[in-house]
Amino acid sequence: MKKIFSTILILSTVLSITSCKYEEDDIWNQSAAERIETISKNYAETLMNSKGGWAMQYYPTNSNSYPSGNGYLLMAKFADKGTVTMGMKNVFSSNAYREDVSTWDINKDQGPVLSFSSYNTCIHVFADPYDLPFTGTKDDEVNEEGKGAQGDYEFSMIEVPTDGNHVLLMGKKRNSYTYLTPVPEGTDFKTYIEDCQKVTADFFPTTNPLEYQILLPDSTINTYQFSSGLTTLYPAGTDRVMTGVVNSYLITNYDGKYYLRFRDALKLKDGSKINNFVYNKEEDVFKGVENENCKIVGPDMATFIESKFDDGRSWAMMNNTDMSVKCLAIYSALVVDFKNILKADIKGITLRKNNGKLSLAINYGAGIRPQSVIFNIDSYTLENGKFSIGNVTTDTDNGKKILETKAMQALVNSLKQPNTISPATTQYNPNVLRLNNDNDAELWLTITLK
Amino acid sequence: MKAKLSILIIAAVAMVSFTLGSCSDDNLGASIFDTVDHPLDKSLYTFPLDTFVKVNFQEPYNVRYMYKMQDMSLSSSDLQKNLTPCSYDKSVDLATLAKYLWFDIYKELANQHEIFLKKYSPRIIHIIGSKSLNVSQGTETLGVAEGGLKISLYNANNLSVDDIDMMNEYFFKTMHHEFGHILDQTISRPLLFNLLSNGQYDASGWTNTPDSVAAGRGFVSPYASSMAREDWVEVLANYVTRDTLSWNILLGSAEYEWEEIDIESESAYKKLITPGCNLDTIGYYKADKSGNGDNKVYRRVCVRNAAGNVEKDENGNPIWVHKSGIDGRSLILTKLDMVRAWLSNNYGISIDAMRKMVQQRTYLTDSKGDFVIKNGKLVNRFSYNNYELMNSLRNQVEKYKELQPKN
Repeated sequence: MKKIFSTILILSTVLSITSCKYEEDDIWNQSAAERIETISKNYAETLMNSKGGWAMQYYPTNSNSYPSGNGYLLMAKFADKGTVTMGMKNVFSSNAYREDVSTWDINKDQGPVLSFSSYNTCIHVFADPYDLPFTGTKDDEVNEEGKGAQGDYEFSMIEVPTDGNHVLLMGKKRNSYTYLTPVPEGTDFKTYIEDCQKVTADFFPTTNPLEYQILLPDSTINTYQFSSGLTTLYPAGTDRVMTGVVNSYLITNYDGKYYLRFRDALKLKDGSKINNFVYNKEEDVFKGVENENCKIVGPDMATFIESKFDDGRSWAMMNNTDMSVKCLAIYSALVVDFKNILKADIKGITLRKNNGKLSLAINYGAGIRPQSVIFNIDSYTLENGKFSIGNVTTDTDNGKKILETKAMQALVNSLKQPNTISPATTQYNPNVLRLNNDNDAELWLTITLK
Repeated sequence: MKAKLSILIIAAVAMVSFTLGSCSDDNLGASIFDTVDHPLDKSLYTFPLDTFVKVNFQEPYNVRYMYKMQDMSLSSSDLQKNLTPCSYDKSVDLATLAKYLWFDIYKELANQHEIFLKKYSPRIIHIIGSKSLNVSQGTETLGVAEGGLKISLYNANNLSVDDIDMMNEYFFKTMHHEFGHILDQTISRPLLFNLLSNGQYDASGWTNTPDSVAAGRGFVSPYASSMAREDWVEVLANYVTRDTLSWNILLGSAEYEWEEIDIESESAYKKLITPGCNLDTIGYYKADKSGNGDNKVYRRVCVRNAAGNVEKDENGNPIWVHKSGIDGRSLILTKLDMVRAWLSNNYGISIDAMRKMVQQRTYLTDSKGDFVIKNGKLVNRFSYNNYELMNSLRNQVEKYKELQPKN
């Protein structure tokens, strides 16, 4: 015991002397407090300098579960009178646009901390301890779980570049990152949010949801439930359950372009990371910002179409379907011919598979007993983005009469010729396809997955 | 109804100072803390409230009314709790109400007036917008007094001036409760008080104790039955904030002994209820809070036969009995007398005068000073006549807008 005590005593003495021995010269012109004060002032200026405000990609937590792991697009405009105007439209506002004004401060903690310091229904609702009825949690006053979405409203300011092209915040409690990009002066928050939400839904539809691939220079990542916003990413060729990691993302508009940013950066094998993808309209692709060899791609067209046929789904051309003028003339003539023969109105034309055989059906009638005239297609080709059908026959007398009409012959002939098949809007949403007749540029139509 | 918990945290901070000799440089430079007295910024949106609290709390009493969340880690020692700040508007309401029903009353009644508040008031009043839920206990913290320095009040975002019961429960009672702790920490309550209900306190079981059962045991609230120091300040806070009707109902309940019994279900309980039945003997249903089907009925203790049926006296009335030997009513009044004497002797405050003043400021009175009763209830003074009183209190803040530059 005495030995230990002596050792501690000697060590303490040596350390004390050592601590006195070396004195650092002032390496900054200001004290620590003054430096934090200056930085805080500069950061506040940056936030206020975006006169249109900021699009804020807010993730309450880094969790794998809904709703706290999802991303939410909040808007924030910081004013010099200490107020912040915020807007949002999501499940926390019952999907109605909500705007609220409260106070903000930059507190001087170990570094500047952005604090939404008084209650604002557009951010603190993520931090309230109350149950969230929309999650199915029993909102029971007696047995509150005390969690809510567990979001932050105090943020360490991690990146605040002087050019103000973005701000990166980190939640003090949950450590999730919030990324802010400026929006132009005069931006209407509601319009901005709704545009981003529409673009997201157009790219990644929640009805007939699809899966995608992220092509990295060294690997391919598959997605699962991408359209939900909280997706599982897993290396292609591996078991999703074993290797999948949950991530989430948001799409925002910055400088006229749409950006998709993941909550958690994707790691490449060379150690680099990628967070952001920007949409290239000409190429219809989201390309990596940090590394443009990274891409998000939609499903392979032929595989996708075949899989839907196999699922018993059909592709339909309806009366209001988008089509060329020339195609519309054929369709309109067919409607007239059909009415003359069957005394009924066409509701639509569908392509589907029955027992492995492709068929074309003209649907008519209404109510609970819609009817169809079926045409059998003996073969079809779907490869390399081209689609064409073989011979068309029918078993019914009415079908034969229809098949002999000029309009039906024109439609069948067009489909017999090579057609370039492509998504009508974007590769990410092939639920609507466009068929362009390779021999006649004025002959095109769209078909929608039903 | 969630059991309400009010916690006293006595922060015993042990400071161990190691005085190390300065090595060689005696010039320590400027303080790392901001020592400049900044004037309030008139351009700020919060200038009216900032001015109000400076004029009414900071300058006269050295009290900081903290309504913005400046660091969530300071708002609760339990970082797992999810707390949110108060909205500006509710902060305004609570600031004016704290002055009106707390500070102004002590200032007027205490024998040292302003000096009293300068000496004894907390240094910080911290307002939190959300509830402070204690999930594992199924309770809720209404307020916290920390080491006589800081009082935190929760759930301010749900403050409703239309709802006196809510304001009493969450704020007015809590203000007097927590301030009572500070006064108790400064001049200790009589030791004899700790013996009055000795053996009856239950630090954990109080959460499941109905009001009447607690009253029958001599406590003004279930929380008062948790420990002696809470009992002490609950007597003070309840007496001051409860109206006469409510206080008399409490004393009425306290005259009897109550017991809890198990019952199969709520539907089984409802079958027992018939027109003209005596609910005191059948009991009052207490909903299961645990989700385990733990249904209870609490009822007055009376003589029952072997089958559990009520035995009646010659007049056909139940024969009430006191098995515990506790006279709840007398006990509560004894406790109140001790609080009354302690406040008067040590602080020069008449608790009865304070109660009268609080009640008169809370409920509407007529020209004679008598309380106005409508539909059997006292009338909320704050919301009466289109919120005349509340708006006048808010105007004490709003008036500072005139000092702000016009946009």
